[in-house]
Amino acid sequence: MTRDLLTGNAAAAWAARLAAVDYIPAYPITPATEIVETLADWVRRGEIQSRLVTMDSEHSMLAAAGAAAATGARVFTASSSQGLLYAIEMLYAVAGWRVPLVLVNVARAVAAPITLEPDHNDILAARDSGFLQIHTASCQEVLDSILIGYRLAEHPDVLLPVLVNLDGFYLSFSREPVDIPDANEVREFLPTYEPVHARFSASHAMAQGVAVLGASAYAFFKYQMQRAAEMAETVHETIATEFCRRFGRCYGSVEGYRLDDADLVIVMSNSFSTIGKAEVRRLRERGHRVGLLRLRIVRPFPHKELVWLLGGRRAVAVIDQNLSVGKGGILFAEIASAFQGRPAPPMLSFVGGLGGRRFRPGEFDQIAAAMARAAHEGGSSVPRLLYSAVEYRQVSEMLRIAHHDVPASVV
Amino acid sequence: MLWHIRFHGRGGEGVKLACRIVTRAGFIAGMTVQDSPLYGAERRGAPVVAFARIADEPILERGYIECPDAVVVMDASLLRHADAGVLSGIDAQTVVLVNSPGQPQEVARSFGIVGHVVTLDVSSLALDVLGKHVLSAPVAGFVARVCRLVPRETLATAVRTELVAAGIPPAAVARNLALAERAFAAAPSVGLPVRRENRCASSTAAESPFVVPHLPPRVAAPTIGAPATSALRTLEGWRVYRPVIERNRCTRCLICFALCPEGAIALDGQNYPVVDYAHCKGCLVCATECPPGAIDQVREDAA
Repeated sequence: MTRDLLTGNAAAAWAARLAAVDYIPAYPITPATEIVETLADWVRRGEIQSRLVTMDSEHSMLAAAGAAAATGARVFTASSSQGLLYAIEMLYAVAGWRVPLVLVNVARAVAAPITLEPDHNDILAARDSGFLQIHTASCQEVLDSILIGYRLAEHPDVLLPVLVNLDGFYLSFSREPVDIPDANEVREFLPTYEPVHARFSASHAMAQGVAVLGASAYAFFKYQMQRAAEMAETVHETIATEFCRRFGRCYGSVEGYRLDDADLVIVMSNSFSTIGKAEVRRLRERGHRVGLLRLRIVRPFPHKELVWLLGGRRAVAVIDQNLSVGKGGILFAEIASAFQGRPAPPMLSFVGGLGGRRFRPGEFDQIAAAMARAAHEGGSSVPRLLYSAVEYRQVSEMLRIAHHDVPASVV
Repeated sequence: MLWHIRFHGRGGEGVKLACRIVTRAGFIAGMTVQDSPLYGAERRGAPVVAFARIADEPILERGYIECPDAVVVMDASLLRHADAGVLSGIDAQTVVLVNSPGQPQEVARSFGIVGHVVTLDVSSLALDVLGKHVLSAPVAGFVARVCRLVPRETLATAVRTELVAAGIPPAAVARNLALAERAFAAAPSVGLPVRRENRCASSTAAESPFVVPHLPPRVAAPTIGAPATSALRTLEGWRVYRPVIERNRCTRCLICFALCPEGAIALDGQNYPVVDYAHCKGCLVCATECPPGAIDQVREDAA
């Protein structure tokens, strides 16, 4: 094992290297480009044997990735934001082909308006595609989740592709100490892919991704993906347990922080949950019994685990770093739905971190206070945007420069 | 303890790499570290910020450092532009390291800096040893000594590790090592403030919740309601060098006027080119292309 300082992007590249991937179709986009740049550099130096091909778009990239995976190659690729959205049609196709591969998404808010910093409307736009989704909170977890992701995708009971999400800037360009496991140890955990179902062999003719017309056949095959995703929950548990035993780092579908005796629980995902933990620690020092739950696996959605961990709390607040326009936070709605038929705690929906927007002083105190009120008065599904008068004044000034008047009464 | 160091400089000066050398040094010394740069549409000369967190505990923070324990000003010309936010979030205890030949009191007074100012003429050291304005290694040496982060040997290992990783050839690595050590030796040892809590932690200064109002679409969409508003966005803060047209050598060929990518060169009544310094971003295409060489390149510091 080597311990080094790695960016989230470099950690992703290292995982692909350690997984000894055969094929890397590539198309650049900020902030994911560094991943394939790093891999391309290793290919050029002869340090890895993978075949890296630059493509003409993300759509072609995913088509190539899926086709290669269908031949039995181990495939890795990465994208972000508009790039992932451009590939969405092929995400559905590749998942429907039932071929395993790992696609990394470096989260970046989706235009318009345009920005480079992260939120999760890109990765969550892919949530219904059939790709399983692992959302990461540290550079170490990026590396580990990709290795776990290959085992999960290639498992004969699953055979669905996996998306691993890491936040742009906050992980992609941030360096942290990362344990890079030895190649031999990784090979024991993740041996060469020996496909049972999807393969290319002249002696065993088969056709994959065949056209199926007719609703009965469509519904059958489509629902098989649901069945496989349901299986993936226990399969992941088994793989993560083995990973924990081999490498000493343990992952579940969710991560709890100061959760055991918490009356109030804040739910977050991805790298901003690091900041959430510090805020929970601070609120604890002030006597609030607050804990944090980080949603790590978004597909398959861990209904049972969430009900087990959130049920019986005095109040729950979900901070969604995404916005389903006309509804609100996506994860709030999903978590609330898990309590169907069971007593649910009062729940509140906050939308924070859109476009990488930073938390402002006092916001977690406001959330804790709102949760304490909700414990008596009940929850609400109305989304509340975390925003401040300071920011509103700044935007008002921009609007003034753009020759628009903002009502002074609200400033 | 968790220390926050914020680096400000310009694209091409080695801001990201200086920050990386400093965290690498902390990492080698057994501390917990995290670093990240922040830049938008990448361009040489544009303001760049980088953040280093160094601790003897797990780091439960990410992203922008709002309240630094030390600010590193790699390009003093940025202090003239409030937009760059170089001095945001500092207090009297913040150590402000400025790349400047000036005396600390004088620099503090002229820019109204409230923190503990330390100066070193890093640019001259770099120009002397490397012959170019690349400041990553000497700034790292400056920071390591002033903030009392690591001994000289650890700094040297960190410089070598990061420069080799960045693909710098061995001869240049050796020159940068010598340069970093010179900066280390020339800088005073100050130390970083010991604070109980991050001043910008969210529980320490509460704001009240704010509900964004519904506004009419004309205002609520990203539109601009009139032409020529981009003229209000000045670019002079982007320049390291400014083009200065020498009228007596100018032949009025108008090549600079035609090639300026920002349209920041106009013609006066006699068809001589005139630079609009509020909108010149300092790319120096004009100076490079001028046939008679009538456009001088003058450092902004000296202008």
